[in-house]
Amino acid sequence: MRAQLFIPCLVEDCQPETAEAVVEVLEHLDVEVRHPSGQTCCGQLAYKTGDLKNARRLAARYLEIFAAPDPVVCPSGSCVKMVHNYPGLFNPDEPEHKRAVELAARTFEFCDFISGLPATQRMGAHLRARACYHGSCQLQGLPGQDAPRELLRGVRGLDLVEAERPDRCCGFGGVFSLQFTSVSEALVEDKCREILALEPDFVVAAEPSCLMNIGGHLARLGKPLPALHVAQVLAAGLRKETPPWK
Amino acid sequence: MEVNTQNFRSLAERASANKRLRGVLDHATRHFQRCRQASMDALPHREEYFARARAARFNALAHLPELLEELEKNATALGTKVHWAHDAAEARDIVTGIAKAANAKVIVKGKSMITEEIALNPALEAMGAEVWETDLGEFIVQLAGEPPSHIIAPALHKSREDVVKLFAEKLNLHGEAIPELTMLARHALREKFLTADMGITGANMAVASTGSVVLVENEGNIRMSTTCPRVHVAIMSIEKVVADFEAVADILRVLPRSTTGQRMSSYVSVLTGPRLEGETDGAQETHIVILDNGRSRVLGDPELRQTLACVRCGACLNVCPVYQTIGGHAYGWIYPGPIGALLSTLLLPEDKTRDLPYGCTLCGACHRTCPLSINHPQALLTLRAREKGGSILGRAHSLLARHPHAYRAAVGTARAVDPQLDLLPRLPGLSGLTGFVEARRPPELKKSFTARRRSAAKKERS
Amino acid sequence: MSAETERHAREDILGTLRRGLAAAPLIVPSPPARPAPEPITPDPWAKLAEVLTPLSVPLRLAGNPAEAAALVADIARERKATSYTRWGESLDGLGIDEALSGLTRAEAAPCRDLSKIDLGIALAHGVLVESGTMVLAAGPGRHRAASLLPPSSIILAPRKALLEDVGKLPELLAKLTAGGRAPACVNLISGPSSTADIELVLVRGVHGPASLTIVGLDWDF
Repeated sequence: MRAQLFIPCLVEDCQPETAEAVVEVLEHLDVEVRHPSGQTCCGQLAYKTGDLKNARRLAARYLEIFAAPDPVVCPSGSCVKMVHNYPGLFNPDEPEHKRAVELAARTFEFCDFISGLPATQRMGAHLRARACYHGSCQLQGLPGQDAPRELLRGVRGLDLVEAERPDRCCGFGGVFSLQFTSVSEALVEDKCREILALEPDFVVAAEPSCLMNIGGHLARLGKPLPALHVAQVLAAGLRKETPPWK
Repeated sequence: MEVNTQNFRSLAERASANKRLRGVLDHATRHFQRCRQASMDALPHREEYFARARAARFNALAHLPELLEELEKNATALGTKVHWAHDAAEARDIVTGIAKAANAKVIVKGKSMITEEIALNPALEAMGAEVWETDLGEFIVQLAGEPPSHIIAPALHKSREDVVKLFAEKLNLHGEAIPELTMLARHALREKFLTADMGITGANMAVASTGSVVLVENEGNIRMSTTCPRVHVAIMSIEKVVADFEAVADILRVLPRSTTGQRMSSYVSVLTGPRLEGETDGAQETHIVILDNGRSRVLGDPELRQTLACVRCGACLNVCPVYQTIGGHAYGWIYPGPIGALLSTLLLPEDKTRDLPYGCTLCGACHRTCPLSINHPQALLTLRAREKGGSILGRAHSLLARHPHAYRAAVGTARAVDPQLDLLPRLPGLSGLTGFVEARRPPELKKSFTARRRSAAKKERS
Repeated sequence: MSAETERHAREDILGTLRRGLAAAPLIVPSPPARPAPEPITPDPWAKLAEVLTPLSVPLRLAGNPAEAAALVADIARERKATSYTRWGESLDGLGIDEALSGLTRAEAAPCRDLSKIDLGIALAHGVLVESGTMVLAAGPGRHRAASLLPPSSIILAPRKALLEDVGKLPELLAKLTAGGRAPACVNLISGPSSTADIELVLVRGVHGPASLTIVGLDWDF
């Protein structure tokens, strides 16, 4: 099995550990990983600020970058969702449209992707820790939205707890957090309060932007609780060594 | 009411700092969500029922002009006078005209968003009529001189203490406990119902096949408003019409459940024309006012017309993290929450609504909750795009993202100069980052994944 | 506003709607069939009671007219009623007036004349068991105020009026219209008048009746 890595811009430069963990887990599951060059941004920022012109241009770039027929795997629900939006950016009579439909059909959120692999059942991850799961709203509505939960439940020793409203938005929302800073802060405050009430060793989610938002606020609160991607937790579980953040 | 949507951003920011308001909203929205969830969990074949309600609404939209004509024909045949209005001003003229002709001195109103939308009360008061909101929540906000803050719970933002004070000041009525306050309102308003010349309501649905108006409520004030006064005026926006009672049944199956979690609201009235010969109560003169106010244009818009399917259950407000944090008033007009951001943007002048489509984290909770599957975030994105969207930050980012070498160089420079991104908020056009960075340690620029992968590969080779 | 302006508005609105739909037709997929309702047999009264109890609506069963009248009298006593108003013709022959002989009866009249009455008695033309809904068709001798103005309300529910759920409403309304004009008012009543507008605290009887009792007529009434 081969797969192409689609690494979100935030992960590439700010959370490279997540990408490394993704590779580690995929390789452990006998997936041959390629990382096509030239990746920058999938166009999500442009799309969500209503700049469809640039969203189209960036989408067209990604159609090229991921032209090879192998499945595309990405550790971010919102970026995967963006690729699923690609077909809507092109008129059905444009050649890009057909390619966008084709790319969307083989682009998978990381957890969803590995859940479908036979080797995942025997992964044997083991990690003694208490983890609080945040179910990012960006995963809702995607195929396999519960895959992160299922994968984490499969990690032996992991005490998985969920915050009071696990699927409630953490308040990031991209440009929303810049335009409505106080509202956004109020929401991440709520989220962190609900997480801290459970006294976990770390927060875990499958969405880099949520992790940046929640982790960043926890740091400001002086509670430097690690905010980790599901891939990082799985990778640590595979290594079976006590990670630094325990 | 005065349109204040142009200040949405500052109102929202201020409201989010109001701890008391947040407490009230938290309590209320959780309560509504719990009630709704419990009733949905107990409903077998939920998906089928949702699909049927959706079809009833969208079929009505697909045949809107014919259904409106059929409604008019059938209502007129029974003796109901049907009126048409382009906009709020025309609708106000029609209603004040009816009131004048009926010599209406006292007017009672059932809770209706549409009369708020056309700012009817001041127009009726200007002609010398006494106008009473009779839904308890509406009555409270009317006394306070405020707009409603939730589609189905207008006085959500008011505490018991607020109401005690309000009743004492405005009505010289004194009570303490909530049941006692409610009874004070009952007695005060009972008097008004009995002396009223005219009752004004909205319409939850109008039925084309029979010319009927359907009204849904729990208090009985709408029944009072349509039973006691001599004249009844129902004001409806064009999209409220449905084909027949099959459609009504399909919508009633999900509307109360989605609103309050009830299997059926306490009272659903089906009113068909004036009272019959020999009846002793019910209006003798009935009117239906059909209002457009910008909606007919929306029907021709394939991406946005889904907004017209809304049945005003309010469920999208209760699940919206933004509404839960800022409440209804911050939206600056009468329609709050996800559906409000959409409706206001569609119905109000463009220059007043620029920020509304952006007051959303795109989390999609509204879409998942809507019994009609209205995709609010998608429609808000459409509005962002229509508004020639794009921010300076966004466009700069897109430009770089199209040129990977420049992009890498820019990130590399930033990493060298400002790895903790401390300087970023000081850049022109990025002032929003100040607040962002105050609340969160910004992400740190690290050695990129690509670079790490390259070094690792090199190490392996050597 | 002039009839001219209104006609103009009408033409404009319908024209814009037609043009919009012609330019971008709205195709609606057929919905699934309405699911079969939960059966109410073998004991529809038990089902109904199950729904009404959480709404604080008692259901009392009468096996014959005399029992029904006695139940009405019991309720009147419990509610300390001294006056009542009831639907005419349709309830004649149940002996209600005899059972309530100690009370003043007010005939159907405009609301103003009924505002001080303690108890109202009406009849359900249909009962939607699933939601505990009484369907009342108003008409001459069947005044709307009877189930609205008095603080206490009794609705008599005949056994043969019991239907499964709101899916039966279209059929019922068609029956009520058969051979003539639709009733000017049909009320669906599913519990007492209620509000939660102050701090979400539930209060019964805000404008309509605070107390509602259903008397099931368990014979072929």
